[in-house]
Amino acid sequence: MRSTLRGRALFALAVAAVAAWSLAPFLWQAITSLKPAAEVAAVPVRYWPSVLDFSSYAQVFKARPFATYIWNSFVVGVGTTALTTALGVCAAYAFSRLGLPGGRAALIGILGLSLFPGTVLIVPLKMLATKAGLLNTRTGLVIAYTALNLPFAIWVLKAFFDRLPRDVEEAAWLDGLSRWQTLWRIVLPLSAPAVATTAILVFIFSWNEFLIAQTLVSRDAARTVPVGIAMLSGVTVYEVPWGQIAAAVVVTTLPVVAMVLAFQRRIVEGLTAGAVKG
Amino acid sequence: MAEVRVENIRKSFGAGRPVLEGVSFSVADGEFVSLLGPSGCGKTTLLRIIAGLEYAYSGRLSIGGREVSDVPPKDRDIAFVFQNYALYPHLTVEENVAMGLKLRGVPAPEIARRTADAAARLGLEPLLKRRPAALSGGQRQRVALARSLVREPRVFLLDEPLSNLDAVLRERTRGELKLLFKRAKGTVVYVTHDQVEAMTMSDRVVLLHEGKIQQVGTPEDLYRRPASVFAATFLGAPPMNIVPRADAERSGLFPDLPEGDLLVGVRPEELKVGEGREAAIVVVEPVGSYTILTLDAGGAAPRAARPRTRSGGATCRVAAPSGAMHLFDAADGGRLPNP
Repeated sequence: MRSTLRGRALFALAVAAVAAWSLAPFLWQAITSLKPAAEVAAVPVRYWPSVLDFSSYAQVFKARPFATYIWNSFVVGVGTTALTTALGVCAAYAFSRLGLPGGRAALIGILGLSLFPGTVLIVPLKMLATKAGLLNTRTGLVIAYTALNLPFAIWVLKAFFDRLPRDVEEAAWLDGLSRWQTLWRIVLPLSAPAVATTAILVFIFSWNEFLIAQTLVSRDAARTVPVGIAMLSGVTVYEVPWGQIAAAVVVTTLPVVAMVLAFQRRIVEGLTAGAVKG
Repeated sequence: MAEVRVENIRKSFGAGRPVLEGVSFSVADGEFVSLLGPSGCGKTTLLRIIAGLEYAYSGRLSIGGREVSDVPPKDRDIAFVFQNYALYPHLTVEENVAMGLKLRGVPAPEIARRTADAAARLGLEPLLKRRPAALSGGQRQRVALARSLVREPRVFLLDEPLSNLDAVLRERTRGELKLLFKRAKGTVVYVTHDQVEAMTMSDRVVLLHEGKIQQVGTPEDLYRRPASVFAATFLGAPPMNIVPRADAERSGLFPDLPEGDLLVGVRPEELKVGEGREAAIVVVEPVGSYTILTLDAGGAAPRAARPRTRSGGATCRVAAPSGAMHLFDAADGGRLPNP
């Protein structure tokens, strides 16, 4: 396709439109978080704050132990991602390469399980967590999230492993690598994009999850950010502290966005390094 | 270096027809043996069984006098060159070549020396820091060869290593490969479907068809005394003319044919053009160094290859010298003694 000036302008316009559409809610939150309290819900709408007011941020951390929430979210996210990816890689590799008897049936079973709506699982999960003594713990959340994400991880990773050429692995065995070493030193480096994609999506799921976190955790010590934001309240039930909520959203979203972007760039670097010239 | 013995190997995938139906042969120490046959004849499966990448259903396999059926691939002291090279895409050429040595705990200076030596032999020095994606097909193929040479294994197993190269490069690499393995004094088992590769490179050829050995012998043996109709038509270009006895008799090309249900064969290059009976010329195919004529000799339609080009004429004389005749059993295709 020939790239004309007109074509490129149209493309840029389209990209800008999509970006504006997707970013608008977040920008609105960001602007709201910087408004003085009186302007947050002012009628007529005030789009730009008269002064930049950071007091909402201070109030968020005063009203609720948000530092703890963020730390909890981080720990649960990293734990879930690590556990899901580790188990997912092993299971997907086994399904893809070991020719397990009944492997196909098991895969379809796993897919079927993942189709259960989350709400159906809430009550049994709570009962299980209570019996296991995992109520109000981050471990309980990590286990629940891992269970929910594993089917997805296994399917994505298996699809990717299926496309990797087998004879590279066979060459590795002949060179003297064991199955585990082959997985670790050959298959995983070649699957970096799939593993990273899976990890990012699992982390985002865990970071944003509300329903299970709300059900299994009722104490601040293990509470995660989404629940924490929902618990922000005003002086009366009729008052919604929009400024604080917006501030909390910004504080908890930016680190994730930064992390994902950084991660993504490293993946792209990893893929292209040496492909052109080493 | 070592001798390879394959005894009565059987293999099938699933319930279908067996891939290998009791194959036995041996490769002497330092010998270059080709497994030759059409697609699906089981030659690659056989090579993978020798390597330990597939398990045989039954049979025995020994390398250097040691039974290796239950030995994992890495401990068989073999090197395998894959058809599509199977290089590690995320490692440099140097790392690809050195991987096997590293994992065997070879000391670093020794690794460096042997890697440099293999790279020098294959002209890879300027490429050592590149990754496979930045190499041409021919360069990748040489990296795959270097990876096998550097290990100094007892046996080299090669699975159609030239089939992904273009015709010119293949022709040149054929000679280089032969020299390379002669110098390495390696025992080589070489899988190919290309009869020219098998004929030009091998000390002996194992001809496979539908999971069974058709013939084992030197390239000269297979060409001069094919053991079956399959061997006669698979080797040689253009292939041997094969005609049923009745048609052969009617054509008058073959005097004194013995009785019986026979197939009569004669190689196109051994038909004598210019003497004998008259035959119509149906098609003329000039190849350059010789010309292929398709003739109509009353009942038989033999093809004859004639040195240098030939022009004009709707007919020619053609004769089959009695020494050039091959006889085969019409029922099982096996070779029969000449009268």
